[in-house]
Amino acid sequence: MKILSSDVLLLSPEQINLIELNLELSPEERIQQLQSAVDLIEELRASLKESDENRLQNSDK
Amino acid sequence: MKTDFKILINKLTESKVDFVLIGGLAASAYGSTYVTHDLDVCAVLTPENIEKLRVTLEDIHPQHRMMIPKKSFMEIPENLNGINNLYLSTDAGVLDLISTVVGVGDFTEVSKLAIEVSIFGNKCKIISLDDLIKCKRTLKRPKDLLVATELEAIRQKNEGK
Repeated sequence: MKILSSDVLLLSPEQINLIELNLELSPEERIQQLQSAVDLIEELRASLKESDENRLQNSDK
Repeated sequence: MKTDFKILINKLTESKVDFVLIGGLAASAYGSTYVTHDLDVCAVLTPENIEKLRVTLEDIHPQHRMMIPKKSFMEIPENLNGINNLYLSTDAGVLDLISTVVGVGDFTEVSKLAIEVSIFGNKCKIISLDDLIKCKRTLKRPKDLLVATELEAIRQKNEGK
């Protein structure tokens, strides 16, 4: 990576940790973020379950 | 910022850039209890694909979150060749685009075992459980090892069904 990797490398591990923790969000925003993650995870789990059931049905044939 | 992963997934689909969902949210989908706040995807970051992403992400104001101060993805980088990873924050949440998954390989390798899923009406792919464990084991950061241990237990339980 060109420009971007050099910029990341300029950051200290502490700075990277702070960015990854996303501390700029308020507690309310963090809760809302969790809710959105849960919505996505529920969608993914339902789809994976369906995919697994289809695979099992096909293997039984 | 109001995080909405549905918007991010819709935007990625709209961009027509093929992607595989990886990372913490994929781990949660397989049953991990460690929830992360960013959407991680593996994609091929060609100049053409980066341009497509710029067009579709523009209205949610993507910025390079690993730059201090943050800089707009719409302007930087100017040279789109040789970009491996993009770490973005947007109005709809954090989006990381990675071209190579550690321990697994590039988009082609990750795609081989990836499972097709439907999310919010969009067809896309999620990294396989085996590849996700490989990645977490190879990364070796404390948080990744915790998730790897959890995912291995889940895999073992699934195999016993």
